[in-house]
Amino acid sequence: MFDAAFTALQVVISPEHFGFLFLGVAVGLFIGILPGLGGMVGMALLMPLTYGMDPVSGVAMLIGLGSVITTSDTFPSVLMGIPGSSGSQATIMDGYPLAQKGEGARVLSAAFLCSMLGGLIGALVLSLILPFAVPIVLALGTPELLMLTFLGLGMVSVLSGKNPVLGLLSTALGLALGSFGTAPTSAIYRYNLGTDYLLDGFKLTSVAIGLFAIPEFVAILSRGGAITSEKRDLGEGWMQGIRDVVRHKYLVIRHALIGSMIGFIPGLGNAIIDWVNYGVVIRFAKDKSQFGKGDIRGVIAPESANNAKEGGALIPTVLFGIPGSGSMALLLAALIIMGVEPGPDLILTRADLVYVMVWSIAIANVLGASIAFLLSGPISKLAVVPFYKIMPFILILVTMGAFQATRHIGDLFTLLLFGIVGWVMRQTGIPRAPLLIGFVLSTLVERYLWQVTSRYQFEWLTRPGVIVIGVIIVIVVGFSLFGREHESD
Amino acid sequence: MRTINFYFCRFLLLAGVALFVNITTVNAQFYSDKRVEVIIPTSPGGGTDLFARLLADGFDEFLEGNPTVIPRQMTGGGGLLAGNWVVEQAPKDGSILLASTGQTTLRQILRQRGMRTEVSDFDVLVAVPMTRNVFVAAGKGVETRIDLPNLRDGDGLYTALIDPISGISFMLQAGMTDMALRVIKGYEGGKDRDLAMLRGEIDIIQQISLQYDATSRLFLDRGAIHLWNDGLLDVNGNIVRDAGFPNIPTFPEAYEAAYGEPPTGMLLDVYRAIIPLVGNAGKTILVSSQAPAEAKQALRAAVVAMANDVNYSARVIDQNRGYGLLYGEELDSALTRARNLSPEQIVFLRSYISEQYEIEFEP
Amino acid sequence: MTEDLNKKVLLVFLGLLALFFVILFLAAADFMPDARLYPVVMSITGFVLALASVIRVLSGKEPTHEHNLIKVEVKSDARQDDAPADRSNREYRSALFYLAIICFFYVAIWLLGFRVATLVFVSGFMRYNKQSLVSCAVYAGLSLLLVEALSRLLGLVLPAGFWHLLF
Repeated sequence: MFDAAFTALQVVISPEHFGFLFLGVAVGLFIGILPGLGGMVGMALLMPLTYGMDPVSGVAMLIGLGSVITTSDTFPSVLMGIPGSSGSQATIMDGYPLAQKGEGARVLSAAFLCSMLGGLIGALVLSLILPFAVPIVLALGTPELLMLTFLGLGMVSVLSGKNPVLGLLSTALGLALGSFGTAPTSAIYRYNLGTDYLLDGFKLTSVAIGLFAIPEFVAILSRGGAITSEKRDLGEGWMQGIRDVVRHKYLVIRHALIGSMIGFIPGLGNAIIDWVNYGVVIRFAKDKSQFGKGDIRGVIAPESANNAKEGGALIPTVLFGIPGSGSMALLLAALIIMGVEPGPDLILTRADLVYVMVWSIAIANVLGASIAFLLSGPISKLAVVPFYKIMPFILILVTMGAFQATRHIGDLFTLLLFGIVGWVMRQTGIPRAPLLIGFVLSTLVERYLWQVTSRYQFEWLTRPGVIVIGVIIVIVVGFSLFGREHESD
Repeated sequence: MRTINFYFCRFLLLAGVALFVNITTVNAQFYSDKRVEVIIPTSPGGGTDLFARLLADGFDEFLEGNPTVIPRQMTGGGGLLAGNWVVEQAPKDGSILLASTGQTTLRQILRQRGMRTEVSDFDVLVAVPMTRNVFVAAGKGVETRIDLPNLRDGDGLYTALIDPISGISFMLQAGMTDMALRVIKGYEGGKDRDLAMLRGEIDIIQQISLQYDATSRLFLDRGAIHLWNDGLLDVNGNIVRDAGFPNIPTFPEAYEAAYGEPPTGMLLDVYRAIIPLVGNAGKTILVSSQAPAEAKQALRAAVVAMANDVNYSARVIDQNRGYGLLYGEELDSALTRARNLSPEQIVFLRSYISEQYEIEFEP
Repeated sequence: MTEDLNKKVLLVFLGLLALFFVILFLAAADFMPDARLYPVVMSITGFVLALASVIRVLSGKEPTHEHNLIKVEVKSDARQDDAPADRSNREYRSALFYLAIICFFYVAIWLLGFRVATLVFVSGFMRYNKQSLVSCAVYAGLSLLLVEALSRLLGLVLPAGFWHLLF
């Protein structure tokens, strides 16, 4: 095993393969910076190059791309409050307020360092867990997956602040909106309003950007001025960010571990990873008062986790052919095109290639974070430019990104609709994160509930995995409600 | 303000002229300097996606005039979205090709609700066959294929159905063997079901032949029995074995071995009628029937060039477990056989499907 | 007062949400049983929660300000000397205006296509912000360059508008 790992390292750092890895990283960083564009666009862009390419170079390139998107998508999340990709929604919660206070440099340096460490830990976990991956994935049945979606929904309680009812209402709205489109249990379409666009329901990119980006644009423009109003030298926070990470080193490790574990779960990881980590960090923090107003721990947790996830997410993709996200699906297709058939015995038959993946993740994360550091100086200056000067460009980028989801004009109207809803919610204090969580988990909840009840009736409730996750939900949700009462006394 | 309006008018005019020039340019070779898109109605990584990408690559290499051919995903509504878009909105100049499946044609024939396209809206350029295998897990009372009648008794077997038309051949097979099935709904795709089978959540599964190398072997490693393969319809109207699975009986063969007599009745008639559709021409590349004749000619010529190219056809055969491209007269005769479901069979099939699964058909 | 205005908007929004859940419930009646269960449960839950929120707001249990997790105290560049209520009303009006501009941009994309709409929107927006004609043209040109570069580089597809109807 060590031989295979060592040989793979030599292969990856040979100039030819390293060149492709670097190309992947460069494209990944670029796409991550553009709001709304995620790994899917990047993979689609580079995939044609993989025809006839040797699998090692192709894998290094595509994994390099996938690994760093969650590094550079921090830029729009932190500097503009726009989700750079679906994996960086929670970073907004604390990263953006900090940037508004003029601490953008601190947040970015902390985020990049966490991304790098998270990615490295994710690669390490992946390589350690590989020999046991198959039995672990098979032990997670549909009942356990259902409980994990409930855990994701449970995070709503942590994110609803002091308005539990409004938080629940927001979740219910998300769950209801998620039921638009094809019913998971029947060959019929719900609420499609006579338009083809809604046959598959609303698209996550448009919903997320609409809820978070449009209200922010409107708010900053109508307030006037720049994103950050305090004209501080952005340079001085860099060391502070690094010190933050050193101070919270256990937090980095904890969330990188949670991230790689959740990434590992087929079909679930990508959707909830950042919110679960954000919820957990709040739940277990002693002083909760600054969360949502600019607590650096609210950046460290999701950023450590979302890069670590990439390692875990490879397991269902290459061992079971179940991609956890659109970009993983394209990676899967590229693998098959290059003649690599995914399956549980890949670890035996192509150990070299699997370790190439592990090393590619590790090296890409170091490369990606370093380049992001270099870029952050010029990019973070955007935060002090009068907003009306950059708003048109950002709106154009966001719109182009949202339109790639289905390339139907409906994507733009969805964006607009959720922009208006998001603005009203922002204005009136209804938390928006629960809506997004409900929306993302809606189909999974319905799907798994049907499967579990028709397969197990009620006996699933006695499964050990279900009980363990149930206890975790009680700890996270129950205590956070109790904790809040206590706090408000 | 007046200056601005003037600028706008000029911009508008320029944009308009650019657009006009683009539309009206005609070259000697029909496809030179053009851009062709192959629309893929399914998500990346599946059988249709791989087939479409392979063919997009083929057209990119062999289409005269050397146009850029790019695959483009347009998922949604189980393929309805892409089909409706191609018929109702896409340009009909031969620049849009659509990857499709026999199941989509069956949806058109049965008139599933939401489907606004018809068989006659498209010309089929090329196809490849696609069969399906059925496996039953160990410990379900079936040690060999002879034990098939045991499946009628007991509590029933759990199986997963994504939607009744994509699993139509299995539904008919289950009907003919009268096996007690407990259908679990809500699975997302083939891989999702494979995992459920490996976890022991379902007992019997139908799987496309392309998946054999990747996951079917794992079922067999865990003691599952490979019951049968759908089979393909030959030119004489007989159901014959898939050349990729020469040692696996077709469904009628397996039935006869277990029950001592071949299957008969309406279910078998319908089965025989749908096999050429979902099997022989299982995956297809379509072009709008309104596309210019030169376009269709160039596309068909490209298909012939692909089939005659040693390297390319080796790729096709490798990906399709021994089957090459189906085109020309051979394709036409398969399609003729495929589309002759009788009105009674259509009525029967519609009610048979909707009795067992929620689905809506146009009246 | 800000609080009053926010409260009014909140109540109207909650009312609309309740109505929305009722519509979802009624529309679900036509679905087949398996497809109906989930939306029915969700719409009833949503309706109850919306009503509960209305009651809590009216009884003063929901605070209507300073409780959004994402809300941050930032000094505004706007004039500081006028009363907070005026400023808030003005911010509301100006917010609605910017929302309308974004609406206009999207409708323009739909009708005129992405590139033309970009030109119209960017030059109009910069002109509104009192930029000179030259800088408006520069901005418009830059934005078109950005659109072209990205769509070519990344192979992005953009809405084409309805120009084809004219030719």
